[in-house]
Amino acid sequence: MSSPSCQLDASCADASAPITCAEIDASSRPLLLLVVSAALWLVVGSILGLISSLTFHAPKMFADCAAMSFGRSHPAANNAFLYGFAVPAGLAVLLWLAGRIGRTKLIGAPLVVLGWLLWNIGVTVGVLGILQGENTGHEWLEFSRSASGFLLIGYVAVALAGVLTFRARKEGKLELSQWFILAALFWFPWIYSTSHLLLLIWPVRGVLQSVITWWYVNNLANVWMVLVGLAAAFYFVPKFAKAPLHSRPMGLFSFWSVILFGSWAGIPAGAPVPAWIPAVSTLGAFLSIAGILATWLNLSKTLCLADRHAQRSLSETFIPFGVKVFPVAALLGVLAQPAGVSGLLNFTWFLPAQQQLLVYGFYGLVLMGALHFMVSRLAPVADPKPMFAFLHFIGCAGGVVIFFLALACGGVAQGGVMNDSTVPFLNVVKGTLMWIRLSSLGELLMILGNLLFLLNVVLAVVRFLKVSMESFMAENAKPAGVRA
Amino acid sequence: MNQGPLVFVGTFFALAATWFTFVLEPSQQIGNQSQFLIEDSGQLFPVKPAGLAHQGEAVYRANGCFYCHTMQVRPQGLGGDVARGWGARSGPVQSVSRDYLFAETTMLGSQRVGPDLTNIGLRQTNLVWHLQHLYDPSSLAPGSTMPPYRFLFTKHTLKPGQKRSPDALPEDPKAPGVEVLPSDDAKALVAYLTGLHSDGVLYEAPAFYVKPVAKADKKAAVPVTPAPAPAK
Repeated sequence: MSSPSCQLDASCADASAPITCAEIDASSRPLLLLVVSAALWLVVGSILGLISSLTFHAPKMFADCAAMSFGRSHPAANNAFLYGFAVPAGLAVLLWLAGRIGRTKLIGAPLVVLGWLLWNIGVTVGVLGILQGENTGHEWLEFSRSASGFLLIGYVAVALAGVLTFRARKEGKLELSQWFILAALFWFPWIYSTSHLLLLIWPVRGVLQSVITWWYVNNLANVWMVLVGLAAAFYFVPKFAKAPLHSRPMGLFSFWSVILFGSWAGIPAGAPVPAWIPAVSTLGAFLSIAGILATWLNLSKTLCLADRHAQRSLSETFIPFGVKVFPVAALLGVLAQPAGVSGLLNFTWFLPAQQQLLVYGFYGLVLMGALHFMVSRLAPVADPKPMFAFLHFIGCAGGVVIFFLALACGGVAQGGVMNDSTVPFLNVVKGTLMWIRLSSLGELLMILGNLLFLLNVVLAVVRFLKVSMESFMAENAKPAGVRA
Repeated sequence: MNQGPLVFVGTFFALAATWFTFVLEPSQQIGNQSQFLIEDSGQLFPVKPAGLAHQGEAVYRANGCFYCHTMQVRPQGLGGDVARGWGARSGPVQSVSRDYLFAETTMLGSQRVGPDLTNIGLRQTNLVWHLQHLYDPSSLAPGSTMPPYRFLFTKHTLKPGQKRSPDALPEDPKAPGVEVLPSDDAKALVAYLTGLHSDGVLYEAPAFYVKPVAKADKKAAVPVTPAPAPAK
């Protein structure tokens, strides 16, 4: 391996440890299945997203094609991103980290393969279903009952392998990242099964459905994704800085803040529910501010110790960027909660912009960084060319920044005129078009970035398979040679 | 020390806290709501939607209308919902949880790319307008960004002497002799849209009462019918 980041593994090569990093990585190869399918869904999702935003460039484009119309391609894109990419990619990172930090091989590889298969059947059925009009009507939970069932069983299978690997760790005392890993493994099945049961199997009535949907969306984005993203950040950032984390107690404070307060936010003021629900939600959001600031301080104090002039691998550009985006995205989410601001920003393009910054700018980029690192260890190949790395980073990071800035500015402007009842509603809509069209530029860049991510992952895996196959053939050719 | 159990119990506690607060407690409070008898009119509110409207809700859901249209009116002082005439209750009264009792799926929506539809059934009662608007929104609202839902219609050329179907959309002068027929889905969707209204005077959404009391005569007790908004 010639990558500049390969020395980063030094910390793992503990002489007293009976197992080496290479052995752990070799046992973790089934996780590559999750990584490849995640990269593929990421591209599928971003292309569907572009199709949906074409509506704002030419509304009549898909007038005769139901599957490509905005109301179908938009949720299909979002679900392909969430369940095709975000969750399985997160699981791959969680399982690999559980093995690496716990210094143990991956346990339960067949469970991973089974879970991967079920999960991807579920996502395929779900996305195709949405395009055909099988939408449950609950945002972020649009997959049909059957598709969600596959997802839940698939998740449990993969997470079970994660828990087994976690339990096989060598040390009882936990590294900071392990706190986040364990919580994340349990968080998703609870929130997903609760909302699945109460929305699709025995549906509750009326606005209770919306309360549960808000609760789920917030828990997936502001708790689960944050737990996984920070698990990776707290593992990689000290590695990159070649120094211990600035403060472990501060990191633990971040952990408790995320799971105790982060899980309460997300229900907007003025919603047609008893008034205490949005009020408690706003309180929870405000209580999480200290944790967000502590996370930011902790990670940036550690990051500033890194050598600025050293050649950087892909993960060393992606993860620090995501880490810097986190406090911005999370604080904007908090600030949009109180009634005064919500009156202006709710229902505008600001909220999708903030959400994209959190789930793609923070979570997506940290995950891509972690996956690049992981893939380069699981299927060792040379680092990509600098031009490739540059385009990949500009695509993902530049794309999400343009997308966010365009829609956030457009959203604030939209909120202002929407609240002025003297402006006809159609003029409000027309006023947002310029911003939406600008955001499509960001989307195009993100597609480029996502495509390069897929290309890098697939090339690494294909080259690795080729090399393994050749060595396998060479080994098996010997007896034949003797016989001849 | 083995910290695994501590993290597990802590996570369980945090999950349980948020679950009790946002899943169990709201269910206890509003899970058993029922129809309300409006004494002035002797009618029950909300009204159970008719069969066709119920089918229309499925079309609304399948085509993701709720990604661009909300179905909730916020109270006065929070956005311009009331000032825009999207509410149908008198004064500053917002949507309340009871309004959604008979929705099979509650689709409050999260974005207003298009106008709020809570009371579209009161603002625009003309079925033909709705059908025409679904077929070609920009013909009725020039510059609208709403995509046309032509896939909910069938279009064919009339043979010489063939009569137009009574269901057909009004003839487009640019395309004479062409008949556009709404599908069952389109009719159901329009039945759903025209059935949407949240105007019941409820205990939690009372008729607006203006101070001083002396001036609050009959007008305050009777829900004010909103002026029909201009067609957009």
